[in-house]
Amino acid sequence: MTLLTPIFGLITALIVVPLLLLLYMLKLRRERRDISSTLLWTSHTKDLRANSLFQRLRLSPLFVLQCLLLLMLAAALTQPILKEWSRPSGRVVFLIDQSASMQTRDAPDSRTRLDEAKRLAIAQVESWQGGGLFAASPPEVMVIAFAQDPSVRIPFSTNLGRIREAIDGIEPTDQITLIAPAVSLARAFSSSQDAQEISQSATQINTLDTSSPTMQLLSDGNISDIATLSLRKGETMSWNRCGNPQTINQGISAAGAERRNDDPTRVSAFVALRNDAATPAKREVQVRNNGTLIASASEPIAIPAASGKGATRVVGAQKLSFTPFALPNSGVLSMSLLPEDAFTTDDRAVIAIQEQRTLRILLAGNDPALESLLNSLSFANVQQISSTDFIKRISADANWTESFDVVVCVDCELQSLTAGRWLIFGKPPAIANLNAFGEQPRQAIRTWKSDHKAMAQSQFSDLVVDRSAAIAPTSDWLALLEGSKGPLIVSGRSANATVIYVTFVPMDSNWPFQRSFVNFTAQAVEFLGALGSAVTSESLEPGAMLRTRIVRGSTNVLIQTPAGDRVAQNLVDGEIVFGPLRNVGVYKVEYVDPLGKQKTRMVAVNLTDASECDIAAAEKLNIPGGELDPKGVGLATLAIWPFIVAASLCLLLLEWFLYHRFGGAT
Amino acid sequence: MISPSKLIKLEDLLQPSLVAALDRLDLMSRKMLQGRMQGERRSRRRGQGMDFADFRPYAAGDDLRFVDWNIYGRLDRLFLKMFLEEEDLGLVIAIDGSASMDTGDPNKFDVARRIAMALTYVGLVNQHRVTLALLKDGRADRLSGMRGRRRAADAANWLIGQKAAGTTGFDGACRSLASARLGRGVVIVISDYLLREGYESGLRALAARGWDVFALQILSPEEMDPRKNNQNLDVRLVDLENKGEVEITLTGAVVREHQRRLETFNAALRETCMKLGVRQMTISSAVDYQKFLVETLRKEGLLK
Repeated sequence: MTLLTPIFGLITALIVVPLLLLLYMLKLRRERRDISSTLLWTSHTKDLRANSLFQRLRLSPLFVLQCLLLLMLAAALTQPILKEWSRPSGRVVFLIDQSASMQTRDAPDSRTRLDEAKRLAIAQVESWQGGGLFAASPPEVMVIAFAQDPSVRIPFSTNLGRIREAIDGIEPTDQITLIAPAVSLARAFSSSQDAQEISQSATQINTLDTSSPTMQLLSDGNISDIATLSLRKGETMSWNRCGNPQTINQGISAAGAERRNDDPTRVSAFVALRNDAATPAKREVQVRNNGTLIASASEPIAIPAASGKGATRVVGAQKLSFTPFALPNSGVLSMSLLPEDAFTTDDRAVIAIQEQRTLRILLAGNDPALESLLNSLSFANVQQISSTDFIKRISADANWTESFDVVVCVDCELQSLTAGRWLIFGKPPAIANLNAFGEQPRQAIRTWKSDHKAMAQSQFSDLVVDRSAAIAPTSDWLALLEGSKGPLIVSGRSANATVIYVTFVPMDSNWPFQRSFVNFTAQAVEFLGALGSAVTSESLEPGAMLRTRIVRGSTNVLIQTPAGDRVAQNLVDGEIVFGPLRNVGVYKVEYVDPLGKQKTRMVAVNLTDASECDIAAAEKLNIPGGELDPKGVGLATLAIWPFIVAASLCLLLLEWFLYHRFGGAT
Repeated sequence: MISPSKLIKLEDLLQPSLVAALDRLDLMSRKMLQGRMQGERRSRRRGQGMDFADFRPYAAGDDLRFVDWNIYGRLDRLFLKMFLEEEDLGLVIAIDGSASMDTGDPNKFDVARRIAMALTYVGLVNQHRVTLALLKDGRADRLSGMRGRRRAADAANWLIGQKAAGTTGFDGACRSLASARLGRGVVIVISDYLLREGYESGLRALAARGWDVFALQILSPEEMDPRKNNQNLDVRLVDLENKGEVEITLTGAVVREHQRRLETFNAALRETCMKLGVRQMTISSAVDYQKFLVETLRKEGLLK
């Protein structure tokens, strides 16, 4: 129980109770009334006839009741409220989780966890700021909403209206949960405001509360980086758990679709399902194209139960592939798990299928192996030019290369890289990042990055390079293939150019005779081409940046979010950057190309993060140095003073009854 | 509560409208009393009345006018006819003149004097010997020997001239009254009887003298319900006679307790009067005293 106005109630009690005592000890100033005889009255009276100002205090039930009544009214004036939280002594930072799992609807009245968190936060602030005119000064409150990226919704303030508005304005996101940046932000704001206040008013230094603020975490406890959180000396954190630890979830853990190489008009799709429950589940799966049902499982798909506990827990998984279906034009494939459960974010997945088209590839230089390979790619339209002509052409028109999706160069002596996407073999381009310093002799392969899209499904261990350029790329360049004497394939950016550089020509190695040459070349072309407009778009995670290149000179560039908001974007060096992405769904990039044609590019965003989709609220938060126990949810402040006032009124009635029943004789 | 006396003239004491009604009334006594003069009231004394009572043998010296000559003719013996002689009645009206009577709304002393005046008028009209007395400070100031309608003005002036003050001294005053040579008859003692010294001895003294005593108790409405006409419940009650004070809060319970005690007190008064052969009656000073005189006292047998 907390007293909102304890001082006021105490002062009132200290005044009125002694006053009542005084009134009881003072003799009543009675009206004189002359009567014929006091013969029948003498035995009634117990009043003293002494003329003194005071009389001896005689305890009577009425006096006790009146004392009790005054004390109860004074207690009511302290405005006691019953609640979970105690009034903090210093400043408070609310850390409100707005991550994807906070959209789970397992709070009372089918509200989301975020709604419950906001309600709890507002209730706490209101309870601290309650009490009206006589309330003590409330603590300063700062509100930080966090998921993958934190944001300060309101710096330290005591303005209840603004605080409530800031909390109400927190929108859910589909991002994962990272608390460390939020805590860092809170620390930064706390210290900066302290310093600011001190410098503004040197005379108020002694009154400033420079201690660390109390952090109130309102979250379900599914925080990816909780193990890395460490509180500093003097910092305190309490956790109001929002959500039920027993809530289970089934969802889509992965989804994909791609046009078939043999028939680009047809699309293959697959979906992976997960089950957090300890019992198997059956869910229906549907695939829709722009809202039209195009595929559905003939019967509910059984998803195995999760097994194990704690760190050894393995969620149930099921994979499902759909028969390729015709989709010659662009579209949005949405995969749904039915019926929806408490956490609907992962019950849907979207895939943006771009319009079927071929990549425009410029091959500069002569390499029979590359020429043969590129011409064999079904999605490629290859234009070939000699290296000499190529150099002359780009000298005349620096933007010419940007009209191609990918420029493949073999032994071209490039003095600079113009805007575009480059796959370069042989002689290094004269750019500072590569730091070319001669030639390397024969070398074998030491390692490669198999997780890069260009290097996937390839074996390079049998590759032997007879002669290659010696380079020492800067750290912002990524070595995809490492030879025994240095990097052989690197990837990076230089100005407006995106480059994959192979330090040797295929003919100087045994590569043309290996399958990895085919795979690498095709995948590298596709990867570079996808940066502009891919055959099928990759899916992004919430929190990622949407980064895409569009043709220079395009105008009216807009991004339409899944919620329908249209945000104007500036085209900088042929690229737009938007984000971080907050919600799952399809983001549409709309623009008018230099030829005046309206173009649309779609990017799908899906939540597949396993920890975020594990929506069961945490039992405890294990942070270095201790555990945080939840305070639970659903608590509300309960004002006690109306009950005390009601009891006081009953007491008053009892006192009135006794007074009139027994009169002054009592 | 003090409501001082406001009576200043005869009309205040005896309203002309009441006179006609009083003219038809006469006093009644439960006792057959011997008066000193021939009056309009039968007495046990055989004599010159109109109503035949008995015969007795003639004796020397008897008035020959009362010899029954018819019997003498038949029996040849002299018998005298005996008649109930009509005699006058002594009426003493004693009013408590202490300060305690000068209270109440209506004022008790005023009501007592009005009733006394009306009864005096009835007595005078019927040729009774009327005495007015004021019981005060252990004495009984009297206006005695009034007879006939003409003395009504004297009685009224005497009553108007009386002031209620001091104490009653009821015992002494009654003994003083009883010792006076007022003959025998009816004594009406009007008082509130709220007497610390008691009333039994005084009433006994009057009854012992053979008087037909009528104790009329007048209480003010405020004495019957102390909260009547009072807003302030916290009061300091001051006894007008001995100046004693009582501080009290007039709650419902206190008032009920007071009324219970008053009822007990009045019951004791009735019991004492019954024991002494004294008729007793309690009225409020707010009573319609005309109705009281014409109807109530006739029912009680004091008037006829």
